[in-house]
Amino acid sequence: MTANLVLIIGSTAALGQALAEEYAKTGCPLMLAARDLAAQREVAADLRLRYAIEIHEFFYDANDATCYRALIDSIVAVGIPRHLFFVVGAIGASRDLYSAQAVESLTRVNYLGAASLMAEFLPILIGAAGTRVTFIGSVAGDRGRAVNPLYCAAKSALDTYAQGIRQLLQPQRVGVCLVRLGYVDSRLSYGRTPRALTLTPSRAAALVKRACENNRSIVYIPWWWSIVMAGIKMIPELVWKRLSPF
Amino acid sequence: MKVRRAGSPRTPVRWEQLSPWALRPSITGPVFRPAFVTEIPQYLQNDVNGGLLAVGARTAYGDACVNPGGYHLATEQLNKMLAFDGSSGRLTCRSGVTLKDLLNFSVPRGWFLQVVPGTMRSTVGGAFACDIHGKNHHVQGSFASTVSEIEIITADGQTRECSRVVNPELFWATAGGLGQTGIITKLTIQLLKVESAWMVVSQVKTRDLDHTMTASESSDWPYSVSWIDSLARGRPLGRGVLTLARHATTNDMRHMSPSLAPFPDFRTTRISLPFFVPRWLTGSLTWRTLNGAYYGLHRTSTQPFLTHFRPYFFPLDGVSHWNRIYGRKGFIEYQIAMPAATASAAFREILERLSSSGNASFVAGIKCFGAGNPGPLSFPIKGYTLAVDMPATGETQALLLRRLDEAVTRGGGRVYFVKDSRLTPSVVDAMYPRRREWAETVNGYDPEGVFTSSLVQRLRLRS
Repeated sequence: MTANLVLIIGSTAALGQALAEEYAKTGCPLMLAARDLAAQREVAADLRLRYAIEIHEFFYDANDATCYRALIDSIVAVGIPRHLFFVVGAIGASRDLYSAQAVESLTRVNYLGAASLMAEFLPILIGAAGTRVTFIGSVAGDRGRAVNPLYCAAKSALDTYAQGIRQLLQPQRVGVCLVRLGYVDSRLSYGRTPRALTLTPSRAAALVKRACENNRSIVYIPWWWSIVMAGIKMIPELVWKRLSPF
Repeated sequence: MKVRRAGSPRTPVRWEQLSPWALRPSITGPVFRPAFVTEIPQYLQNDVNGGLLAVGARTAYGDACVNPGGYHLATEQLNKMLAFDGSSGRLTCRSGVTLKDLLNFSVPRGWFLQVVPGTMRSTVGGAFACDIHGKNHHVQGSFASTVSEIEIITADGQTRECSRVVNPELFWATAGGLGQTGIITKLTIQLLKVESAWMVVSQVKTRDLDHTMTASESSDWPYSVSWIDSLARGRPLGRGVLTLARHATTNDMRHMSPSLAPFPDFRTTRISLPFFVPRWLTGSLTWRTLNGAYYGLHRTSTQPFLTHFRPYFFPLDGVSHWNRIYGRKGFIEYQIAMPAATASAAFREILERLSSSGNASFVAGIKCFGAGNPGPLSFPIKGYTLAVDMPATGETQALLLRRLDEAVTRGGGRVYFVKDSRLTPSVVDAMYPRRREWAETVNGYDPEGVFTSSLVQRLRLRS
């Protein structure tokens, strides 16, 4: 494990950029991975200029199964990161529910990609005590809703997967953190969430970083979503299914 | 939550309250917000009913930065710095980088922007599109003089590079072009080497308008601007305080204050004006008292002293929402540029009329301008500029200002579009004789009129 090395998968997402900046401020060398390499190049150039840190840029596309192995190889060539963040996510459109192809793609982006990459990464993590893996899940994973069943299901799968490997990696002293993220100002939420309840990416990144450093297992960000979701989970299915879709 | 989508159903858009700095007009409109420049063509392909306007920090005073009935494209996330050469001081960045962000980056490295306006909330893209000027216009020129290259996405979705050599016509139509040529995505800016973050400042109290104007012209300091008491009438009309400044060198620091760090961390105060000040509180008596006190408190001339660049260049940035001082109805900043030959007489007439009708306040200034640039819509012309803030009132004020517009036109002067929210189309061609030439260039790049703004429609700039 290389001291302070941070890997962010999904570096061009609003939260990914903010997380990268949060660690860049403290001088940590970064490994960034994203699908849009041109955008990532810009993010990296900006961070290099402002914080004079070492940054490695990699390609990751959840829908391109061939890139997983290559990504792991290039990561290992640099060093085993101390922190891993999976920030990739997509909500999709309501019509995606009716296209098998879109269903698969959304599931890959939100869950399968992370699990597949971890499949290659697990053997390396075993023996890398002190490493932290953080998955950015969503409060949507707590209960399925008619507006985006695919997103809810994929985030729920990610949530459950994180629980499983947390138990698996516990003896290896590798921490697994799952963030159940509420509203954050990003491309996903732009124009869709009430502004007063929406976190800025930099605030969310600071909270994610803190949760990861405190070795939390499951954390709601912001915290009050834990109360909201506890309430929502208590609604009996008999009632939930009859609510008008929201 | 009201969500309406343009064109493709998946284009994210947000409805926002949009107000220019002078709060006229305040509107609610849809805003796109690309995270990277590669997304911009997608917004141009949408059916943008009512046109599109790229907006930065919306620090323009008037309706140049709003597009009622149409769409806005916020550049706030196009805020990446791309390259910086620490030996030559050339910085390449995206258009949504704010001046504050840029200065926070460059000043500790010993580089400063060559031209800065009175606020650092503005973006570099906005500064270029408005061709803003600073206190050193008489020696440096406007913001365009510091920009060597820009990249712009025109209405057809094409990315075009332009500079003084490549596509010069597009470059100059964009400088001061109010966002009508396309969306500026990248700028290369030449910075100025400085030895400290401090300014050497000297002040001279002036007796009357002639004194104010001659004193500001005869100085050989790079930064020069006069605050004037816009309510003084008769003989002291145009009296004020001339502030001269230059960047402090290591030598200055050694002589004036050896203990100061050259590039200190500047602690900002977070003062905000939390409410709209009611109009009855800010009548002309208030301003008269304030102006008298400010003028009276200054000595005839001072020994040069050191000030950090932030309170020197951006004193009003210390109070967020200071624009609320004039109340909910907003205000007008009447800023004009006049050739040297007619400036004195015109300023005298304007100040006399504004002051006698109570249309004045604390914020008013005079500064000398150097030569203009090839931008057809660029505001500065060789001579002087006068700016007076006043609370927006009613029809009487509108009539008075229209009469002043005529006086300005007769003297070969012009009103600054970026500060304007009230000018009428009839005087525009006299003020900006190359307006038609500009419109032809712009319409060549944007034949279907994708880009527009409230100001462009009000003044029929593109017809």
